[in-house]
Amino acid sequence: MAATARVLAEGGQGSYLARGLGRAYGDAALNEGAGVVSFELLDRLLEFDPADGSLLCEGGTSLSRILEVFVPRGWFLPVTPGTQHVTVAGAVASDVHGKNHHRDGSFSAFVTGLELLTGTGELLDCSRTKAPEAFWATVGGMGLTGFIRSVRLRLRPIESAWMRVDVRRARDLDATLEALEAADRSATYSVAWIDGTAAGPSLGRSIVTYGEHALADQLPPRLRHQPLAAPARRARTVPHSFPGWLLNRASVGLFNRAYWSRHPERDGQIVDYPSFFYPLDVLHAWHRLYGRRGFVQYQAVFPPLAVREGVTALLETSRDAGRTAYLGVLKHFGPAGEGLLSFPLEGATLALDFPHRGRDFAAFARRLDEIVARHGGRVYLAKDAFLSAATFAAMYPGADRFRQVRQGLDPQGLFSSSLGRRLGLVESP
Amino acid sequence: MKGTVLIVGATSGIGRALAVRLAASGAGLVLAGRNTDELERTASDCRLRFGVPVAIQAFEARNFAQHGHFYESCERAAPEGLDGVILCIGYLGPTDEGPFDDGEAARTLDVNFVGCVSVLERAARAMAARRHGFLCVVSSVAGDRIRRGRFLYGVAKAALNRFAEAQRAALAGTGVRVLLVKPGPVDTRMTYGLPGMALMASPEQVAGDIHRALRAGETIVYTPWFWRWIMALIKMVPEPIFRRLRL
Repeated sequence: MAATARVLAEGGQGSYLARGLGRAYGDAALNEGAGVVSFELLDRLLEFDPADGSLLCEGGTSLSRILEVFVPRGWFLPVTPGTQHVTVAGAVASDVHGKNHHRDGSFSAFVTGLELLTGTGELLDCSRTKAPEAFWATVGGMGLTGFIRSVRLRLRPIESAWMRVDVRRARDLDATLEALEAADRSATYSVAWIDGTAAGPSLGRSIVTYGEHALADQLPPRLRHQPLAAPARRARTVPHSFPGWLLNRASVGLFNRAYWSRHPERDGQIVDYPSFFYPLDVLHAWHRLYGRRGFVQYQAVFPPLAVREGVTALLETSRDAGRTAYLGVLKHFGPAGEGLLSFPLEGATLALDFPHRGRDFAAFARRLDEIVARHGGRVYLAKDAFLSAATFAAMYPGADRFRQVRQGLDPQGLFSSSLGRRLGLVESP
Repeated sequence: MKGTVLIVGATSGIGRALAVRLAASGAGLVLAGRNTDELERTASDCRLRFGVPVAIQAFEARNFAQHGHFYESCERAAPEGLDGVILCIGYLGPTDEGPFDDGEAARTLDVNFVGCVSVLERAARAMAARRHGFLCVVSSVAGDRIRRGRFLYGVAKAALNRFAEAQRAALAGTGVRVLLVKPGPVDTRMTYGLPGMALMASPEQVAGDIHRALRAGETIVYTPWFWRWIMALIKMVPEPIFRRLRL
């Protein structure tokens, strides 16, 4: 870190940004024209206390490494996003959430401390009780407050590497919302997979899944003697040259419809944890399915009273613009945390996948941004590539306070990113 | 792998990759180098991930007076003595332009050759007395045919190669094996940002090749494998032509 502090001070590159595994969908992990510091070698586990599941690890440690080491020992991540290929520092910087936010909050709810290398070359220990301002600016701070050298988090004990899953079909958006609401009271994990191609009375039709960590005695006999052993899953890779035209509204529509009608309602299905939490990780480079032009993910949250109208507006606006989202994922959020730029608000969050087709996707994204802003919601920065500084300011009232705290931590503006400049969080050089 | 292995230069890219690789195979470790804070981080990681005992020792290649004490401490840190020693220390200085810099020259020869001899000779004696163990020396293809530009590095590696060969002969019949490793360019601190690096290997690939060669009882391994053939060709080039090739 001393060497890193020297590099920062000598400023050969103007500004720097830490980069973990680069899974952000937009420009959060890019620092165009300036310096990027890879955290790939800062990936070591430092301390673990089996009495309370407290783990100290370097910022570049991946969530997949943590699971690989600790699931067999009976520990899980209390909050995990939809991919395990992100670093803990990245998880803090985006304050990621999972399918259990309504119950457990976001990633930072289980972070008990972090070490931050600031713009003054100081290695600052922050937590809720020590330098809390720096802590809450760094949580969700998109890497703009400094380098997160290490993170201390609490893992959660589990009895098995398996999940007990219940599945319900919801015929339209109202049914989907009711199903998620029912889950708030009774399920640890819940998510609705929305058929983005369904229209009219079927708009918002979905498969809703509820999940719990399976207890050892809930496992079928053949799994009981090694409850913590997860099955090896062979990941497949999509080739570079996959023809993206295969995925179009007609083909996806057919697939979704067939999937929805064939998917029976089931209770108590036992599923391995990677299939439940990381279904897309099975297909390496799954984004290549969209072909050379790729895709865009759009994720926003709406406050409770605006959910129905907001979600309907997003789905209908997309359809009207000729840009049907193939897949939508809807989750309930509990109350917001204290991260100044943290994404989750109480309500529901919808994530949509759009093929990157046609001209001027940015204009379309801005229309969606307007809908979200109008309904008092906001857009998730880890996925955003199009928000304007003005719309961002309207969505994130914590931005002013964030800029103040950041100024104290990084007076010379050594840390920056393309996203930070686009949203007006940092000054452009 | 059973027993305890000493890795000298364990904060280097190859050293660190080897530590993880050997710990994953069940070996206990003693990690030696200058930056004990870095060593402790790698040690914690190996202990937590693989449940093997890992000790650390400070080591300075040029501090010859301390080498005896250093080696004894390493032996004591291993419950049943060391089963193997791997040397991953090296120093690649600036290119040869400009006036002769005797500080640089001394450093290049000391870290790449003399310091290694000092450690390996002590290890050889200790292991021969127990009639068991291995020595592994990470040299370089640069020692096979010396290029212009940083030729003292090549010279030191060439000397190291001869030394390994001589030690192997001296240890014949004692039950102690000697493995000489010749990597091509490896993506680590030593080569980061240098121009003209082709066919780079990752430290993990090199560590994998070393581990395999140790298990198979090999004597010389080029890593990646194709460097054996590239260097064989280069060694065949007649001197007058090689000089003009500006390789």
